[in-house]
Amino acid sequence: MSEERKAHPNPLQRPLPRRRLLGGTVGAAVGLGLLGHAPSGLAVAPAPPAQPEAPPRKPGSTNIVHSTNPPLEETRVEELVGLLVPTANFFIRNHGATPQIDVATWRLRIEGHVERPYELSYDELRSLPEQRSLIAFLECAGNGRGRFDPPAEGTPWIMGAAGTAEWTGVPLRVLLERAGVQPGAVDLVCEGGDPAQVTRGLPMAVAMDPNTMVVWAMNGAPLLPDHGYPVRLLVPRWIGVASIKWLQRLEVLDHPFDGIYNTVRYVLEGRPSGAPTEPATVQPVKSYINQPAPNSTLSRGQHLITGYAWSGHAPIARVEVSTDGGQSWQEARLLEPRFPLAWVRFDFPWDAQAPGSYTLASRATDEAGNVQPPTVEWNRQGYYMNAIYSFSVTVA
Amino acid sequence: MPYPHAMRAVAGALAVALAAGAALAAPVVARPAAQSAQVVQGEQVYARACASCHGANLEGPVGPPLDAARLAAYGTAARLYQYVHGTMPMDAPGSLSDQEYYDVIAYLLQRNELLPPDTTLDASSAPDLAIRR
Repeated sequence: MSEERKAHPNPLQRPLPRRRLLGGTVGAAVGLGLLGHAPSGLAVAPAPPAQPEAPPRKPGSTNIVHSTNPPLEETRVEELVGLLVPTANFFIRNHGATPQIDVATWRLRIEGHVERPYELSYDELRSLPEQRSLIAFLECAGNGRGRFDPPAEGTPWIMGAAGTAEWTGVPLRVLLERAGVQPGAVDLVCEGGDPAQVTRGLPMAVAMDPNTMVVWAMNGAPLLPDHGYPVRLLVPRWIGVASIKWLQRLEVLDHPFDGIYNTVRYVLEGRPSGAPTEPATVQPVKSYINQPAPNSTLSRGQHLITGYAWSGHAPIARVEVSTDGGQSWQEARLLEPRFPLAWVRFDFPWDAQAPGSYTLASRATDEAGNVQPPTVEWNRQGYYMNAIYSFSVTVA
Repeated sequence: MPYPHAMRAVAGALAVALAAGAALAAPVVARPAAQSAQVVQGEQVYARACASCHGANLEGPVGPPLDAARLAAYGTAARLYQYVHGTMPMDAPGSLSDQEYYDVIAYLLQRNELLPPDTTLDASSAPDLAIRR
């Protein structure tokens, strides 16, 4: 990117073209997760939904497919072995059909309450000198929804609608500063180019956070269409819908944005306590044990319990593991490397000598002092399920 | 361990939630007598594309019940159209024609007594049609 181009951004000259959309009418596989209860009262993992007949959408993917149109897939967490989730197995939550966007005509338009509205092409964006990579977790606000009882509305994700990846792009603030944000800016409207045209308002303070990025690569390769190709937002720590895919327009507002995905969807509402409706924003502290897997049978002897923990509020400070349904807890080890915006791996050596049934659980605490609770209040759309996750295994 | 106390609180919350769920499963409203041609068309679209999840009487339960509170949350018919057009039917979002989307939204509003008399819903009228209970 030359200094001349930076100093004289492209003027807005035309409306953005409408994208050709990928068709498809494969039926959705809708299942409702059931919830059992261990003797301790901790919730037990529901069984994963059955695989539909449709083949995997990506070679090598082993995801649980809740729906193919819109694509709704979650990671089989028991298969995870490292810090990063392979792209083929990263969760997918799209609101409509996945668009196929022609990168040659794609533009990102930046406008609104700014001094110099402009558009960027894909090549212009990728040539910006402020490029960086960031390792961060991303999670659907409804992850764990399948554990609500009675079932909440929406896809009954178990625990696999979360993952950590390496993201490459430029800080969003670089693009906004180039446009010259005017005083009094309140929200940034972020618009996707999918058929649902998912549009979210992001508080300007979050938009200007150096870790909020406009990204074009994931785990070292261009984004796949299901993950927002050619360009998406990455808003670390926030619910996944804030990280708008197929990003095509940014509009600075001098007033709050009241779009559907801020005020109707992705809100905590219908709570039995009568708590007022409020938007879902930052992800709460969570963890899960991924090995051994739920309902597995183990031989007597030494086993290594492994899992993942993360929080949108602060890095993870500690993780405790229970093998007796939450009656006693022991400190797990946190594994390196640790990145402030990513999840952390933990392990705990377990000497399982006596045959019988055991209820395993993990409990994470973040550096802000947030601790996973035993239970979470029900809400209609099923967000923020961060209750301690437990399940049974058998030692034979 | 604090669990016994916590579990009592949860049991109470679940009981309330179960009661709320039962209320949501009730039929939405009685069917108004007079229906415009658009509403009649919309009823056919609904039966074909929506009822399998949202129920013959808009009661759910695979999809949420389409009651007045749920529709009113969108504020205007245009915002409701934007959401429905982009995301529904769940297994084939965007597969209906624009006219079919407007027709089925008119039907939903009529069934919930939210459609003013002699209203034809389209791109020009939807932005100004506030959905109020």
